[in-house]
Amino acid sequence: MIETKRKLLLELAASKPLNASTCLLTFRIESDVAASCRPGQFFNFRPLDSTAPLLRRPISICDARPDAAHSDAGEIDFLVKIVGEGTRLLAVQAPGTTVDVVGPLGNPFTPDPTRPSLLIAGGVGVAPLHFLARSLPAHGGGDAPITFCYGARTQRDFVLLDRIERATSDLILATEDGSLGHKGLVTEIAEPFLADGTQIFVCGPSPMMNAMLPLLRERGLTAQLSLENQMGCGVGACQGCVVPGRQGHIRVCCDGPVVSSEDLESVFSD
Amino acid sequence: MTDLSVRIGTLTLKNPVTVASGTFGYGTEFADFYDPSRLGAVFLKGLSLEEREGNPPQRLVETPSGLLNAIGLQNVGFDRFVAEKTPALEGIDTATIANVCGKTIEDYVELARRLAEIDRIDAAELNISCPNVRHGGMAFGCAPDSTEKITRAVREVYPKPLIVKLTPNVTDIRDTARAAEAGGADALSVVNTFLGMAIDIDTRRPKLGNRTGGLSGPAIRPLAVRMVWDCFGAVKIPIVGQGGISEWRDAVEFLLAGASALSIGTANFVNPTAPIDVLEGLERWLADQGVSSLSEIVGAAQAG
Repeated sequence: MIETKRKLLLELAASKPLNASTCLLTFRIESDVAASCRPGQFFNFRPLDSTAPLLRRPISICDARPDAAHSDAGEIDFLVKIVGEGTRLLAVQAPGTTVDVVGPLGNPFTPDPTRPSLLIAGGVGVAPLHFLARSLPAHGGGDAPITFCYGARTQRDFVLLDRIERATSDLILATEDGSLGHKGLVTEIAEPFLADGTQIFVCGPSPMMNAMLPLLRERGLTAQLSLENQMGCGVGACQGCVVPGRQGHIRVCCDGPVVSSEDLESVFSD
Repeated sequence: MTDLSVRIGTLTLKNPVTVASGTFGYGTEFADFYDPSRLGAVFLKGLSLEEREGNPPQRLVETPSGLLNAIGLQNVGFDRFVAEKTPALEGIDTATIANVCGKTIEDYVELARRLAEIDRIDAAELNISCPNVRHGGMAFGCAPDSTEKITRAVREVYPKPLIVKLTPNVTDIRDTARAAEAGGADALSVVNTFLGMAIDIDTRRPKLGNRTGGLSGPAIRPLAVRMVWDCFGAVKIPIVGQGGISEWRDAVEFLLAGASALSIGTANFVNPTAPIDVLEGLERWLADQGVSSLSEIVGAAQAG
C-alpha cells in the first residue's frame, strides 16, 4: 500500500462531456497508486506547463480502478466542472495528452462498512461521493444499505446517474426547478433519512452544506463533510487554504478536505 | 565539479538553492517528493513568540503569473515550535533557518535570544518585511533607521548567522540594505513580497480577507532581479535572491545580478520538486560553463 504523495504525469485515456459544463476525464495510472486512493482525496492538476494560470487545481477523485492483473493498467476518473480558465484548459485536453498531477492528497472519508450510509451530494460534489459509494461494498463485503441523495439545479446538471444507481441501494433526486425528482433542495430529500446509526457523508456547494449543519445538530448527529477552497501548496505547508473551524483554522488540503461537522460552526464561503 | 558552497557568516551552505520561508512549512511537508537534505538550506515558516491565528480567509488569490497571499504569519509559536517541530528537523541534514517575527523590537529580541539556545536552528532570518500583519512586520523594514535599530538589537543577543529579509515596498532598497548591513546582518534576503490587492467585481469587495496581500511568483521576477542588482552594488554581505524563481535559468539570472544564494518560494506550490530541478539544472549549467566556483558568476552581469 502506497500512502505517498507523488508528482506524476498521467496519460489521458478518455475525455467524455457529460453536460455543457462538466466532463469526465479518465487517466491511466499505476495500479498500486490507484489502489492507494481513498474516497475524499484529491489530485492537484497543473492546467498548463506555463505560468498562467500559475497554480494547480485540486480535483476530487471520482473513481479509481486498479487492475489486479496489470500493474500499469489502472484507471482513475475525475469530474471536471468548468468554472474558470484552469478547469477549461483541463477539459479541452485530447486523449493521449499527459497531464502533470500531484497526489493523492488530503484527508479521506472514514466509512464504517458495516453501518448503513447516507450520502448527500450537490452539484459537482457528487464526484467523491460516487467514489465512496463504489468503495463501500468492497470495504465491508456486507450489505449495509447505501442511500444516495443527489441535488442539482435542473435535470441536465445530473451526471453519472447510471453508475451511482448501480453502486447504491437507493438513489433519490431533487432539482430546484422540478425537472426531475423532488422539486426543491437536496437537504429536503435527505432529511427523512437522518437517523441514529446511519453514517452521513456530505459534499456540495457551501449553501447546501450550511443548510445541512442545523439539521444534523437538531438531531445530535454528525456527518463527514468534504470542503473545498483555492489552494497554494496542497500539502499543508503554506496555510493558504484555511477555513474557519471551531478549534481554529482548518487547512482544507490536509486537515480536510473531509472534516467532521462537529469541527465547523458553518461552512466558509468566499 | 563546481564548488557550490556558500558562506553566510559562520555558516556554510552546501549549495545555493534554498526554500523561502512560508512556502515550505516546518521542513517536512515536501519530504514525500525528495529528501530536503539536498537543499542548501530550509527557511522555516515565520515564527513568533506566541502562537498566531493569522488572517481570516480568503488568503490566496491567483493573479497573472503571480500569487497574492495574506496568510498573516499563522504559526504555532515558539514553545510548540520547539516541542513539536524541531524534533523532525533532526532528520534533515542541511541548514535550518528560523524566520523571526514580532510586533515590537522586544518581541524580536526575545525570540532571537531563545532561538540562539536551540541547537538545531543554524541561523535566523529577521522578517521585517511581511506585508500582511498590522503590527511589526513591514513597519520596521520600510525605513533605514528602524531597520538598522532592530537589526542591531537582535545582533546583540544572537551570535549565529543573522539574515535580514528586506521588503521591496520602499523607495530605494539600497538604503534599507545598507542599514541592515550597518546593524550587523551577515546576509540579506532580497526580496519579500510586493504589497498588492485584487477586487472582486461581482461583490465589489477586495478578494482577500485582509484586503491587501503580498504578490509573489514569476510576475515579480524582473522587479526582484533589479533589487538584487541594486543591493549587490550597495553592500558587501551576501544576498539570498528570491522572487519568482521557477527554473534553473531564473536562478542563474539572480546569481548574475548579484545573489550568492537563492530561495525558491511560490514555485514549490506549482512544482513540488522545483528546488531540486533548479539545483540539478544549475549544476549542469555551471559544469557546461566551466565554472569552478560559484563566486565567479555572482554579480558577473555587473562587470564592465
